[in-house]
Amino acid sequence: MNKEDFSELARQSPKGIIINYFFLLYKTGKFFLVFIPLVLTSNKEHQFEKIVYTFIALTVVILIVALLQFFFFKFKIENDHFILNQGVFFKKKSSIPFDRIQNVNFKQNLVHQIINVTQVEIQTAGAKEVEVSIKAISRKKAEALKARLQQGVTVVSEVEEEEANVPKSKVLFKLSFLELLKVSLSENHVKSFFWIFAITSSLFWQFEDLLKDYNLLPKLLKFYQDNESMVRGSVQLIFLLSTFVVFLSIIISFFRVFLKHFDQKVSVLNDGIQLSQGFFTKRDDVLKMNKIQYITVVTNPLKKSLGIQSVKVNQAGSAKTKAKKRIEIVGVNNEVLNSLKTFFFGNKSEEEKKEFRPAPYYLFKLFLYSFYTLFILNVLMWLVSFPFKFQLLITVVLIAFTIVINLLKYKKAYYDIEDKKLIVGAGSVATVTSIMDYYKMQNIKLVQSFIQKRRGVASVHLQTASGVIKMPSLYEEDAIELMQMILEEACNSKKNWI
Amino acid sequence: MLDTPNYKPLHQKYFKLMLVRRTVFSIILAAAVFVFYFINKEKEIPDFVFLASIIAVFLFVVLYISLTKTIFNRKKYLVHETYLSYKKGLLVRQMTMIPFSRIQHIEIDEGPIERYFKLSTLSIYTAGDSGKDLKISGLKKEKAQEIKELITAYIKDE
Repeated sequence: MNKEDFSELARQSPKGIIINYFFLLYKTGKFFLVFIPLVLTSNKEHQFEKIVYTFIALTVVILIVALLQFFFFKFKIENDHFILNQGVFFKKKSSIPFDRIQNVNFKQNLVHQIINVTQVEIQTAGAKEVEVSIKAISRKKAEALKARLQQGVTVVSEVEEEEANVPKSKVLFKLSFLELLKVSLSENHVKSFFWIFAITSSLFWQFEDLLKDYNLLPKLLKFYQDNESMVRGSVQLIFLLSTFVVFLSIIISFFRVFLKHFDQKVSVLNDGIQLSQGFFTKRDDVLKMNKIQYITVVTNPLKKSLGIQSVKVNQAGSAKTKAKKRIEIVGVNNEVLNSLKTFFFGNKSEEEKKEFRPAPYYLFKLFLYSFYTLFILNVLMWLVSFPFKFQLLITVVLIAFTIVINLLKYKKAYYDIEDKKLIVGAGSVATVTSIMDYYKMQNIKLVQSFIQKRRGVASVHLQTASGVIKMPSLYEEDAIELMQMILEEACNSKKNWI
Repeated sequence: MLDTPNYKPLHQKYFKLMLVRRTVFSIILAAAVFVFYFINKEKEIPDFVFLASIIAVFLFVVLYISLTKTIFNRKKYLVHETYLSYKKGLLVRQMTMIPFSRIQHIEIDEGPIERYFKLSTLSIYTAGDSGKDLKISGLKKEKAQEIKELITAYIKDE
């Protein structure tokens, strides 16, 4: 065991200054990014010198702040409390009792990895959720700290289970490099396509002033009008451009997934599972069994043919930290999925299955919404006097697209009750299945618009401690039966939801 | 479980409170139209625009006030042995149910107008997304206190 006892107030590893420095630099850099177009568009004398001086001044200020932050950041362990003092001008003292600590997670980004230190994140539960992070200490110290901090937690569980004292961990599955390649390639690349689109258009608006200043926009338009036939003829250019964008989208989503889930490893602990992954930023997350509210299995046709899917685990948490707590395990094959399911929900018992499907009204609603969207889009195109031929083409393509999507959505929607579990199917191209021990629900809501009322249809919204599960447009009797089953179980179950 | 007809209406005074609130809002809205008109007098807004906006506001106010009774009647609550339920909604009806065992804490508060009518609002918080929990206005102060104590006792027993 380690000799570290943390009884004295101590600072982080001096390398923490570097981490603080880069962190501040990153934050300031992000802030100043907004001003870049402004600087580029103004035409003042000595501009270059000014920029350089500002940059140097900023760097020095950041260095001083990083140093101060480091010297005023001290922590220790006292009377089963984690004590943290921080703040240069506004002193902040936090004291966290061990039994309130939920998770201790490690994180290493690129800078951490280069200088060989670890960031420790301490998540706590309580009326007010707080999160404390120590930016940089050595891995050895981090492990020792984690062991000390979780002593309190182990003592509590010791009463229930004798074995809890011995931390066991068994690797459930490890994602190989080849499998990771498969996962990254079969990602939903459309998402990053829209991402590119959003960034390009936001850049366009940022540079709009620039375009106006140099009369670029009218010139472009005039060029387009003068050479209309030429532009229309240059199908090759358009083809090339769109191929490039598609290629770029694939590259982006490929690397996003690849870097995030690099070297993914899932190990089983006795009260949860541990997930470690990441290339530049390495993360170690612990999923506590009792905090898991529901899981979502996502797959698409490509992934299906490769026999893999991803599993999103939704943990209880406040809205602020919710995104962080939805943890994704990718490249899960059917065998691992089954053992994960058994691990999360226990063994399957043969109980009767109750199946619910949305009413045909759901399909009608989907088409109605698509119609509204298309209508508004067409009005907008008409307002900006979009070339009529293009408008027609876009509309026809979109109509075909929405018909397919809506039919798929309707086909894939189902709500089953099986073995005290709620299984909700959704998705259009992708297949999304959420599985939940439904006694864990927080509240349940029957929602019915006046049109739905006339058609004898209603929707059910199930609120969990980790977001809402929506079951749209069931027949009213079905909705009430489903609601009744879930409510009864939640009221009568003696099991704790967390 | 769901088809129990024992849903209770809110206190009758709450209807008066709603009426007061809605009337005040309508007066403010009407005043805003006139103020806007007088501020922009030099711009010579055509008379028919002014007339149209007056008619629109008038129609809205008539509808807004006359629907008060229906909206009030739609609001109903039920304190069951193990859960609490609340119904509301005019165009979109909602029925929310919260098991007692999921309730994290309960608040009772009263605004200045509510205090005059001796009414209070019962807010129920669970671990679900904040703001999506239950809020029952228009309960008599003693009634709200009673429900709170009932639920607190239930949670303690667990």
